[in-house]
Amino acid sequence: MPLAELFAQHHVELYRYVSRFTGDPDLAEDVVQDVFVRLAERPPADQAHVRGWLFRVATTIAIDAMRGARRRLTLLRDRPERQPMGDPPPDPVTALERDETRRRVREALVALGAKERAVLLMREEGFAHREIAEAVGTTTGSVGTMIARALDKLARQLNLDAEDQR
Amino acid sequence: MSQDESDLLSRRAQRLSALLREVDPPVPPIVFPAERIARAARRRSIVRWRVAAAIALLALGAVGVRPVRAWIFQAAHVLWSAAAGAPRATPAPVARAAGASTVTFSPASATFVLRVARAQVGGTLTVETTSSASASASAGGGQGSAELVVLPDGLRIVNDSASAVSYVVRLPATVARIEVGVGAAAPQVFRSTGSGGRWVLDLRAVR
Repeated sequence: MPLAELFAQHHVELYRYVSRFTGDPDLAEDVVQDVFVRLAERPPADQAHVRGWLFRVATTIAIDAMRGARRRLTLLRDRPERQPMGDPPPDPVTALERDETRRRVREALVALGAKERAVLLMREEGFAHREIAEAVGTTTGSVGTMIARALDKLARQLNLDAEDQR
Repeated sequence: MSQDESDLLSRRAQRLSALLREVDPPVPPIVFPAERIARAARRRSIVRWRVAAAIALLALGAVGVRPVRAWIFQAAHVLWSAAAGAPRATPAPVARAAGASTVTFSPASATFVLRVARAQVGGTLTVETTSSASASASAGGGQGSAELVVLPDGLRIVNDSASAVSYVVRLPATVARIEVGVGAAAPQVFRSTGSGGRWVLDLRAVR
């Protein structure tokens, strides 16, 4: 399948996955482009499972990019005038609430660790346990355990069981 | 896993999905990186040409080395015989004719290791440092056979003890340390401080 067609087919879900994984929408945009450049340079031997390959490569690039972003953030902290300017939010109250929820979700996901986070978010994208296991380098059997453990942690941090307790 | 546990897991997953959708940023218009892909393709093409050129240079250089030349000749002969439908014959032993032979190469480091497989009945080994950027080794003069094998860190002369061939090895001035070993004898070390260095070893004397 031509690259542009694969891009059209997968870039939205990849962006969603990477922005959830990194918590940084700008970084996610760069990572998605990098994934397709990598696909052009070193395409997978097995073209039948290109979707899994895209997510696996996206995870690797995202982890590297997050390390770089952390370094950049440390440098910017020392030079605040170099920090990028953003548009002001249209509705401060709604934006504040959403930002607060996003921050909580982000912190809860980061607390999981890269592998558990990738497993959980790939499951969100509808991957089978076997495909997730291949992507993160674990056994199919342990994927279920990792998902249950990750959901357990998130349930505590994000209050996912609140309605059950009522 | 019990049914209750399975239900709990399912509910948590659904709530997490809803929460993630709620905080997902809108997808921006991401541009297909066509220009970056084209640039990468151009880079790859340049690298491929460079690799091909390097291989061609190595192959051309290797053709000057007798064992390689003999191997190429033999392989070509076998391939031609197979293509022509001739029965496959046992390859004849490689001829080792006496006579002049020269190889050129570029030493990779400042230390050059020169090994002569065995002492001879006659002949000399001359090592010189020159202002040239490349190195060369030649064999000739006396009766006998020898093969010059270029190695990453030096040169190996595969000779015959009945040989009286003489060898001249010219090295660039960038080579500062030359280690010469003949047969099982302890290697001698020569230190060069630039071009114009010259050492001659009698291959009989070091027997």
